[in-house]
This record gives sequence, structure tokens and C-alpha cells, in this order.
Amino acid sequence: MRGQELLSLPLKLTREQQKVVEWPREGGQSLFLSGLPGTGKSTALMARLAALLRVGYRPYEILVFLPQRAQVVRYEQVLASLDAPIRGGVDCLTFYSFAKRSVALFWPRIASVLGFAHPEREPTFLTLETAQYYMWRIVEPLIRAEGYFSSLKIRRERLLSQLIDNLNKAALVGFDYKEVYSRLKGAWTGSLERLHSYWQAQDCITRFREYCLAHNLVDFSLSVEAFQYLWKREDYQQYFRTRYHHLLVDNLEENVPVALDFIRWALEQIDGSSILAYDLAGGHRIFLGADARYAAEFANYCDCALECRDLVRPAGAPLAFAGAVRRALGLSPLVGETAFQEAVRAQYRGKYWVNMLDWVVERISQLVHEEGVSPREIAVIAPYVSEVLRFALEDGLARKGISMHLLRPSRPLRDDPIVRALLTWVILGHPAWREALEKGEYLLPVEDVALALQVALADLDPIRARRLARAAFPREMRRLIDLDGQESLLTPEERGHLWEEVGYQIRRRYKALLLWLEDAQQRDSEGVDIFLSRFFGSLLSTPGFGFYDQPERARVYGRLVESAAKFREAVRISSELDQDTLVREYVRLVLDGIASGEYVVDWPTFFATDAVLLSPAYAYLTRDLASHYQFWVDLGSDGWWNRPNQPLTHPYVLSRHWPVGRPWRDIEEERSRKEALGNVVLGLAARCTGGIFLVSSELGVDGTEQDGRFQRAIVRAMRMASNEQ
Amino acid sequence: MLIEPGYLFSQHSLNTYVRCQRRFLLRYIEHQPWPMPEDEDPLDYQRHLARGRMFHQWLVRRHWGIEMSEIVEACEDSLLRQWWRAVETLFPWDALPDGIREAELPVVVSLGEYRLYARYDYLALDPQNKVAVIVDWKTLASVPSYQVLRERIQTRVYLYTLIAASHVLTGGKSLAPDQVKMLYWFANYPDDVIEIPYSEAAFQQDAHYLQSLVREIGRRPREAFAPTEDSRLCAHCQYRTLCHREVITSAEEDWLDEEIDFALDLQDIPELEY
Ligand code: SF4
Repeated sequence: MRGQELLSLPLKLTREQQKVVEWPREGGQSLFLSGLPGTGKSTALMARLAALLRVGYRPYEILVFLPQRAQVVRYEQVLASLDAPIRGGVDCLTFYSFAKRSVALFWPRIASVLGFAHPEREPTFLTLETAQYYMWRIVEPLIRAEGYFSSLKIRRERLLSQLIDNLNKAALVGFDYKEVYSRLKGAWTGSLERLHSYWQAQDCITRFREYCLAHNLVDFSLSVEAFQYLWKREDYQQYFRTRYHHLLVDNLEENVPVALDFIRWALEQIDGSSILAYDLAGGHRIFLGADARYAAEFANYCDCALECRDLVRPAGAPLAFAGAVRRALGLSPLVGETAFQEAVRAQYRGKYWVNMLDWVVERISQLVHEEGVSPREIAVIAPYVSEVLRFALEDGLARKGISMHLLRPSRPLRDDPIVRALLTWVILGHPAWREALEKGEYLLPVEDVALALQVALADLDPIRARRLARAAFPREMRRLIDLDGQESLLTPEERGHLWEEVGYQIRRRYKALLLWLEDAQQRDSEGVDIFLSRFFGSLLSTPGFGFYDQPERARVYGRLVESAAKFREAVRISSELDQDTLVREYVRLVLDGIASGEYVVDWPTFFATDAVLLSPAYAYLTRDLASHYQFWVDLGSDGWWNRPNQPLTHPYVLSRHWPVGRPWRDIEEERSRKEALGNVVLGLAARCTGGIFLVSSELGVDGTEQDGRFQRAIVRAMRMASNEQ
Repeated sequence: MLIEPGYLFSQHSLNTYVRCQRRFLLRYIEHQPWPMPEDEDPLDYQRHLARGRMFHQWLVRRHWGIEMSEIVEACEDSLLRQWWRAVETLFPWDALPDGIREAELPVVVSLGEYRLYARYDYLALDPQNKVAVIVDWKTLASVPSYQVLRERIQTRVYLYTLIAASHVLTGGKSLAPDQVKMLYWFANYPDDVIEIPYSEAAFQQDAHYLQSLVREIGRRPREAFAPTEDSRLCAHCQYRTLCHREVITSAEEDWLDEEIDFALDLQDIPELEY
């Protein structure tokens, strides 16, 4: 949740919340707690946790299972605000962290059974980035030599992530990864070409799995599979029973089938108490494999069920509005349909996208400056967030003195110019690259060199950086040269002009850069992270250089160093590649857009930000945020209706509910989209305590007409309401 | 207020504060990355950390009865093998109190309006006779003196938290301070075990010291977190260019020990959330 007030427990609990707190603490009884969002289920769980600690239960014997780490932070904050002598030490974990931790601990007992070639050696756990790297090494030769995936128009990073997604889905849903092809094929009703691609996808993931087993690499899917095997063993059962006596699960509906299998197993083991909270309008993480249908069955697996009916957050009118939109979509409203007009604070529909954005900025400014609303209580929600939208809104709000916080799934590291500039320095500072550059095997555009100079040298603007780069990186030499030395191609007069234009203070610093690079080239290659750390420490963070007294810019630098260090760690241990090659591989990994950067340093700061939030609907819902005012923008966009184009995988077909061999037809597609949109609307409304602003434009940002299904459903809902009146 | 109520202090953060307030601010409050190497040989430093983490992980496995011999035999790191053999054969396992044994145990207690966190490498507690020992596995290159360890913030934090949380750990009764001790075991010097006893007076002193320390930190405005006056400490500090510190001589002691708290490792958090 946003806002401080939501992070500590309320003084007075509802009747249902009180029941949850008082649920028997011994005897292994389980309770299934359900309700719409905003009915106080999470608060009930947190109050229960607080009560357990207050009366002296051992914190480390309590397991709190949460679908994602943003919620872990919330639980931590509640623990921080407790008035008890013990205020932490509880195991608040996501399913994956728990699985990975268990597999690492029991590795010596399970490695050989699972088919790892070296069970006597420690495993290397892969991050998403490093898994993509290994997948890339497998896929690239197949693309080049055998024309794999030639019929698909898809960017490399998306190809890799879908291949990995297939493996992960198999593990999380609980079927053999070798069935991916048959499952996708059985549901496909289109061209034959796609079947080839499915087969190729299967071939790639099979090779990837074999490689992992041969090299003791444990990717996400293998961790999950290993854990599935592990928890069925008697020794693990014994361990679990000794370790945990109480279980709390929040947002049960956002869990994947295998996590739900595990929770079902855990219910049998726990001898203290178990409480599971289920959101009736959840299951938004369907693309990550969440199985709300299965989660609903837990009402039967638990000893008792309790429904929270009263809204704790005053989201009655927005919920009624969501109910009306759901009805207009042909879905069950799920919530009582009372008058909803007051939910809609204002509407805008103009011709142009830019005017729409201006309107949003104006209204936000009114809320903040005239009505005294805190920016953190306002969210702008779009189907997806483009660069143009981000820039236009941020700029518009900044002119009104309001900051904006962007919540967006991680972006490739290379999108950051500082990262690109630093990688250019890595290229220029490594002999292996130098050779490739000089032979013309790798072309480094002069613009990249200009950017690198601009980032490295303080007070160098883009124009002067370009001027310097053109002279310092002559096309015929393909490396940086000493402009005052013998290899310079400039006459003394030209040189004078150059330094006059670029600045004499830059001359000395440029020379220092060159000397440092020369020095670095003499050293044995130590990896990108260490190269960059040394560069930063001995030069770039000192006076006259680009990171001197620049803590904010250093964050991006830190992110790149962290990513490179993880890469080196994961790849070094299990690969025959030498350090030089690893450096080149890493640089390519980032420049090809594979490495993405959601890093530890980034995420917790969000809670402290007093800014308007801009977020894609999906990210907003899965992070379980709430706001007083929501601006639903771009309502005419198809983005609200379409699901991401994933030609090599399928969230519904690769689920437990889809029988192998049954075709996925338009009618199923239509139904699933309607349901997904219906859930999004309900989820958003339940997280809005004040009012909704409905905002659209006839023409989209690219000038095309917009008349999406969401917009139409809203119009229909409004019309139905006025007819009824 | 820079530090919110409920803030989680640890032995590492307090130790940092005592040595350099500015480093505490940058590292623990602002989480300021400043990616310069703290050590001349960063690869060696990383190996040192990795080896320490692995050693701790092996000991956790041992605690849960997981057979380690194949892994140890196949391990190419001879120092790690040597540490393992030493802890297996020379550590006085049987002399420890029995009843409750826990490895990598996190304990978080209230400290005024803030919180204090400790993670014991190993806890041995006998709830019947109400005695307990906290064991800390040290992989340092040398053995500090008894006096240094006695005064160390880690010792004070660990023993204090043990008493403060003891009623929860034993499941009812609190432990008396003179019934607990801290045992430092040195993987490179397995015979040089150092035991630090505790007492009611020491507990009261620690309670007073720790509470006033966190109160002082909590009240401090941002600009009052001063750089250390002992510039030798800057020699191994990653922020030295941010602080504009020219380093002349380096201190004997460095900051490396700060990092070995592997269990709080945020890198565990996956980027991909399912
Ligand atoms: S460089 Fe010195 S003054 Fe600055 S934070 Fe580090 S130890 Fe403190």
C-alpha cells in the first residue's frame, strides 16, 4: 500500500478480523479467509501475526507466504511498528525464495537423484539474466546455422524470455517440460509454420535443461522442480515440522499451482495454526501462472471458512462502478450494483492524445494545489506505459511542481545512456575488444564514443563531446588516440582549435583517461564489474570527471556493476570461457537488451516517495497498491483488451485447467480477455478509496483512431445506468 | 525525521556508526552505491566472502544432519576443507548446552522505539538448566584479543538480544545474564577459542549503552552525520572519493567484516517473481 497510514495496524479491528486474531493457536486448525479487496484480509493476517508475537510465539517458527516481495516489505513494516518485545525474525518469504533456500540446504541429499552431473559439487543458482545468457548461447547457433524461429518477428530478448517462461510454466504448473510442444501444438489452430516454431522452442529448452544438469546450474525451473521432489521426502517433512508451527498465506489466489500444492502439503504438517487469505477478485498474475481457481478450492481443504464482507476501505462506489462495467462486458458483476455515479469524479474525451494528457496534468494540479490532496494519493493508470507517456506526464507535472514516480517492469539496462557509455569504456579498455575493433569485426560508432566521453568528463556537453570524439577516435584507427602525441592526425593548428573549442581543462582529463585505459590494458582481465569499479574509484569519481559528487548518477553505475558481478559469478564457475571472452559476452548481453535491471537498490525507496504514481494497470494490481484517486487513461486503447503477444508460449493453454489436445479457439480467447479485463476493473476499483477519473482520446498517441473494448464497455455501463434511472 | 521508529539496527550498522557516522548514513540510511573497490585486490576479497558464506552454509547443513563428506572431499578449496575438518574434529560440540540448538537464528528485539537485529551463527540453549551459548564462526586471518572481542559491538548486541529474547527462546522463563556466554571460534586457529561471559551488570550497561546510542542516532539530522576524524579508516572505505578523503596510511583494521553477514543477503531475492 502507499502511504504511511496503511503500514501500521488499525486500533480497532472488524468482527471478522477479530475472529482471525482469536483463531485457535494450537492443534493445527486451518482457516480459509475470503473477501473482496479492501475488506481487510491482509490486515487480519497482520493482526494475527502481531498477536502471535505478543503472546510469545517464536518468530522463526512462523512462516508467512507472500506472492511477491513488495508484500514482504509491507509485512516487515508492520513488524517494525509493533508494540511487542519481539518485533521481527519471522520468515516472510515468496514461494521461490523458500524453494531456493530449501534446495540449497538439502542439495547434498537431492542432487544426484535429480540428475545433476556433479552432485558432489555446490550448485550455481542462475538469475533471470544469467539464465537468459545460457539460453542465448544455446539458441544463437541454432538461429544462425539452422534458421530457428525465422518465421517469427520477435526481438531476441523476448524470444529468450518466452523460452524460459515455457520451462518455468512447466515447473510451476507441474508438468514435464518435455510436454511443452505437445501442449502448445494441441491447442494451436493456425498455420503449420507456428508448429515448427513450437518444436524448435521445445528443442531449445530441452538442450538448455541438459546443459544445466551437466554444469550444476540451477535455474528457476530446476529450483522449483527440485523443491517439488524435496518436500515429498520424509527427511524434509521432518525438517519442516521441526522448523514451522504456524502458517499465514496472503493473496492465496496469486499463487502458482505448485506453490498451492506445497501450501496444501504444509497444511498437513503444521501443528499450530494456518490461515489463508483469498481475494475474490484476484488472480491477476495469470501471465505468471497464478491459478485462482485452484486456490478457491482451499475453502474445502481448510477446517473452516470465513468471508469478510464489510469494506474497510471505503471503495463502495468504485466497486459498484466496476460491477456495472463487468455487467456491460457480459460478466457477473460480483459486487452489489448500487448507484455508482459518484465513483466517477470526472470524465474527459477529446480528440487528441496530447490534450488528454494536458487535462490529466491540470486535474492533478487542481487536486494537489487547490484541494490539498497529497500526490502519493494519486495514481495514473494506463494499459502500458510508453516513453512518450512517461515523458509527457513527468514533464507536465514537473511544470506544476509535482513529482512523479514510475512503476514499470524492469527495462533493459542498455536503455540507460550512462550504461551504454560505460560499456563503451569497457570495450575501449579491453585488449580483446581492441583487436576486434581494429580488425573491423566490431564497429563502434563515433556517437557511442562521444556519449562515453560526455558521461566520463565533467562539463562536456554533447556537441563538444562529438567534436572531441571525431578527433580522438579516427575512423581509420578505430581506437582512442593521444591527440597531442605522434599518432594524432591533426596539425598543431587544428589541435589548437580543437582544445579551444572543447576546453583546455578537458585536455588534461582526456589524457588521464587515456593513461588509465592503457594501464588497464596491461592488467589481466578481471571482469567487467572490477574494471568498472576501478575506473570509478581511481578516475571517474574524482574531480573533473563525470561522477565526482554525483551520488544519483552513481546509482546507475552501481546497478551495472552489480549486474556484471552476478554474471561473472554465475558464469565463471560453470564455464570453460576465459575472462576476456566473458567480458565480451557480458557486454553483448547488455547491448542486445537481454540484461534487465530491477535491482535491490531500487525497490524499497518507493515507499518514501511523495509523488504521483504512473503505472501500468497490471503492475499496480500485482503490487497490491491503493490510492485515493485513480486516473484511468487511454481508455480507448486496445492495450486494455489485448494480452501481450507471446507467440511461443500461452498462459491459459499451459495451465492445469486446459486439457492437452483441446484447441484454443477465438471463443476461448474472447472469454479469457473479457474475464481478464473484468478482473482488472474490479481490482482497480477495489483499490480506489476516493474517485476515478475516466480519460480517453479519439486519436491515440500515434494518430490512429481509438475505440477499444474497454471504452465501449464503460459507455455501455453508463448508458445502462441512465436508462435504469 | 531521518530514521523512522521501528528502524532495524544491527551490530554491523552500529559498529559502522561508532567508527564513522557518515559511512553509516551513506550505507545504511541512504543505501548509496559508490562502486569503488574497498580493497586493493577485489577478487581476493570476493573469494574471501564466498568462502566464508560457504563455510556458514555447510555448518547449517551439519546442524540439520545433512551428510557433507562427499561435498567436502570434492571441494577444490583446500582452506575451506581445512576449516571443515577443524570444526568437525576440534570444536567442542558436546560441551555445549543441550535442549535447543539453532543455526543461523535471527532475533529481533525492541530497543526503545527502534529495533535491534542479531543473527546467531549457532545457539545452544538448555531450557532446563537455563544456560545458553552463542557461537560465532570467525574466518578472520588473525585472532583479536579477548579485550577487543569483549568490547566489540557484536558481543554486546548478541548477548543483550539473547537476554532480551530469552523468554521467547526458552518458551517461558528468561535467562539470567550470568548463565549465558558468547563463544568465538576461529577457523584458522581452532585451538584459540575465546569465551566471553556475561553478567547482570554488563547487561544493564549494554542496555543503557545501546539505547542511548540508537536514541542519539535517531535524533540526529542528516547534516550531523560527520565524517570520521580518524582518516586511516577511510583507506578501506568505498566512499573515500565521495568524502574527498586523501588516504595516506591505512588502518590495521578494515571494514571487511561488515560484509560477511551472508544470511541477510538481499541477492537472494529473485528478479523474476512467480
Ligand atoms: S571515506 Fe572516511 S569519512 Fe567517508 S564514509 Fe568512509 S570512513 Fe567515513
